[in-house]
Amino acid sequence: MQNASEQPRSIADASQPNAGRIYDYLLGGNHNFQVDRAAASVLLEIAPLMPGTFKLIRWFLGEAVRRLAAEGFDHMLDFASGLPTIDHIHEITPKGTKIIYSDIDPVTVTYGEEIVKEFPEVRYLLCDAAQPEIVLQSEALQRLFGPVRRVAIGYNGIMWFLTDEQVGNAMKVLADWADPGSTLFLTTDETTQLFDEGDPQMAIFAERYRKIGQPIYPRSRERLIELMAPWRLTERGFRLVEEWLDVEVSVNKDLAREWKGLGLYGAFFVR
Amino acid sequence: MSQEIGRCLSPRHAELSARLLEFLKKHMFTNRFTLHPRKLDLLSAEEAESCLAFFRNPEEARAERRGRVLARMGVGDRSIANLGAELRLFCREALAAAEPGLLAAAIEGVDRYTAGLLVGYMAAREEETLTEQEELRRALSRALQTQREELLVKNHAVDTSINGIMLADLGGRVTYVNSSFLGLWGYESAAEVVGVQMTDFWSGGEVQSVLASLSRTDGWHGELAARRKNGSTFTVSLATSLVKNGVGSPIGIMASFIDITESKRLEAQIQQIQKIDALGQIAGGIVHDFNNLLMAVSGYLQLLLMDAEPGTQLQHDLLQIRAAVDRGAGFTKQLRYFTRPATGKRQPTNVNEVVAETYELLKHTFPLEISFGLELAATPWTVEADPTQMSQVLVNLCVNARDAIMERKALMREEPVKGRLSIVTENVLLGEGMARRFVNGMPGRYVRLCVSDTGIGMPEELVNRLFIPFVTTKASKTGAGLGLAVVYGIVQRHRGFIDVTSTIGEGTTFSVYLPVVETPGESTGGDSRRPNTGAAAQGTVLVVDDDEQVREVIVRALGQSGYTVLAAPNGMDALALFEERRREVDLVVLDMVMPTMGGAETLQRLKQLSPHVAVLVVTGYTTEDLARELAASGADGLVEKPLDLGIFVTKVKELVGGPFVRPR
Repeated sequence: MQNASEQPRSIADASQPNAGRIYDYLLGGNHNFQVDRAAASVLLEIAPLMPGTFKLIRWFLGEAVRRLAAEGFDHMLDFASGLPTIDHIHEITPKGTKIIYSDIDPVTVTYGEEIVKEFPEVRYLLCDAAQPEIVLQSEALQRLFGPVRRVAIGYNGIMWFLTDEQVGNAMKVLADWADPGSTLFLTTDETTQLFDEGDPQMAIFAERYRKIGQPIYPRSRERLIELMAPWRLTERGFRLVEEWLDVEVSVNKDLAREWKGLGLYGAFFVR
Repeated sequence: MSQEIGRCLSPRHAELSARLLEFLKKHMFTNRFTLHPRKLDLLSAEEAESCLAFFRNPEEARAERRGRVLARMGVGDRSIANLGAELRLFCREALAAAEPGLLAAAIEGVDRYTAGLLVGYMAAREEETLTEQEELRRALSRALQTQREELLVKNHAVDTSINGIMLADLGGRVTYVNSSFLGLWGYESAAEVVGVQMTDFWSGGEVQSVLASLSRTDGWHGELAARRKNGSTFTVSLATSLVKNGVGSPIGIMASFIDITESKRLEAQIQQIQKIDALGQIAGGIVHDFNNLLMAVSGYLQLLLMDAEPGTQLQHDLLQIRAAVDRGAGFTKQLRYFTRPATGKRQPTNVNEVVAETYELLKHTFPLEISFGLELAATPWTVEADPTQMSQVLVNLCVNARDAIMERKALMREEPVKGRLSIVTENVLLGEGMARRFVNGMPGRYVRLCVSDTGIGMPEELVNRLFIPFVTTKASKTGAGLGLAVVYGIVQRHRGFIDVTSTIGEGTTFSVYLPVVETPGESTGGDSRRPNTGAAAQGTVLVVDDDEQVREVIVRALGQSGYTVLAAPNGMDALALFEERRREVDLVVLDMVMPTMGGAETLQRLKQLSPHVAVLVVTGYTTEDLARELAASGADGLVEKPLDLGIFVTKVKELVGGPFVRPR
């Protein structure tokens, strides 16, 4: 459980850097302030591959959504959505797909509501990814999804910000609610070894994130699979994101070289 | 020339497209995230077409429009900047064999194309930036508005809390107080308070140590004496702690208060009631035992008087002893009012009539220097009360008032006495707030009887103990200090309550609140059956009493009256005797308080054995409820100790000879 001093700060608080705005800046966006850009440059000194990594995470979202839409999923839930700008789910999926975005930050939600207000089958709700029941029990979901429970669920780029307990609880709640055949996609890295070895760069990196209110919880893929139960890893398993994208990119190879063979993985889990 | 270039390059569309695809993949991470890798195929084909179309028809506007499209798709700045180099390289390779002028023109075309792209691209990015910034600004503004509204609600909640709330800085200077604080402390505006040291609002030095302890503890909770603006003090329950920021550093002090003056007063009331109740129980026991003692003395005395020659010294002496015994009986009777008032006859009562009658008695006995004032309600509501007991209340209060006035005269050496005793009756409607001030208080209609004096007055500590028996401030110690205790007992039994206000040196007011009943009740107590006093003294009486002397007195009195008397020292023996001789027994005289089997159980068993047997209960300690219970259990009469033997025998005659003849 995060204590009060570790709570993520609102995107509206321009006095302190915000993880969501830093993410936006490193992706090339304009929804950020000088404090975010300054914090980002410190992070870039430690991990210059961050912009590339963030783009991979975002591209995996598009890839996962395209694949799941092609498989017939027309009801989608997304957690820790951030700002639903260009190329987010509703821009990729066929018209008529019902989508619920969610985020922990009220200003992001306000912003997101503004952006999606032209789309009658898209909603944006305030919800902590660790407590998906807030969305599942919402009136908005009841009205939009009706009785449909075979859905696609996104936990893209959020797992490392949740504790083991939070992941376990959230997955159980979702599994209880979703019908068999529902599919959940996520990204994860594997920097556990570096944390375990006390790598100084990784320690500084983690401390920076802790100071902006979003501590990191590294874990191995094996541990994640345990926590995901009863969601089951699909046959294709964990694959490097660039493999999912069918592109040959240097980011992960550089990551692997600098950070001892560790990479950014995407995976699909089935209920 | 353009047409020529276009003709040369168009067949190499696929080659250009493939080249651009590789270029875009190479620069993939310099693009924005919105340009998904899956889109690069389509983008490279479109860009190849756009470039070749420009060569065929070199319009600047076309290139600018294309630049905007690339911006929207998410192509990065560096991609745009390097695109020109890639296109030049393509042209060099594609037009290597063409005439030199054609290549130069193509290169120039590439430069113009990329320049156009950049113009359009930069314009689009600038608009996008402004739009996104504007969107962010609006979202922030909405969020701030929401926060402002939430803060307003919280501020309002704090300001209107019934608890007093104070905030201060770490130096102890007040920075904020809410409305309740101002009301409790008697200030009109926060401006009088803000900036002042917290310690200025408290009486005594304890608050200093409380504040000093905050840095070592999680907070402090307790009672302190507070000081109002006008200097008066009152008691508050205080909770205070340090206010800390997000990283746990103290930034101020918060205190919240509840005025507990009322609750402490009620608490004192409850304690007084509990004390009086406990004393009542003890006194009840004393009254019972003392009555038995008096019964024995009085009984033997009466027997002796029956045999004493009238006019002799013996008779005279016996009468003196009897007078003393009667005074003792009067004392226990008074005490009984305090423990449990004796069964009285309640009836619809006009309090003004009671006041008028009592006043007639008092005005002749009080010192002439004390002036009376009567202010009676024009049409007082009716209360259900025992007029005799109400008169007793008024007498006791007036006696108390008189004594207070005389005490003041003695202390202040006033000549002549300037004293005033006022009696006021009025109809009042008590609301929730006023009723709550009294432990037994209920909202509703009451008749208020006030007795005020201009006497010595009393300190608050004495007021809180006023109704406890034998508490008295009277220098002469006249009376036993039971007067107010008796008043209390009577009023309480009438489901009323008493309010006392007093100021030392000025006087005291007793306000007695008597509840109004909407429908007159039936009078309680007493035997409603008409007595039969004409019957002859014959029959058999079984006397049951554990006290040997009392039993003997009753046996002798009844024997002398002509009755056959059986006696038993306890319930068990009485039942055995009754079973043996039930055909003979006309009446059972039954004591209530006996060991092993008490009078109530004995009565029940007697009635089971013979439902029609007459039973006269004798007791030194009775209550209205007890009388009702005994009647319900089948008791045919009740007399109290110490007995007047003549009255007792008359009662026996009523029960033995009258309509109570039992089938044998």
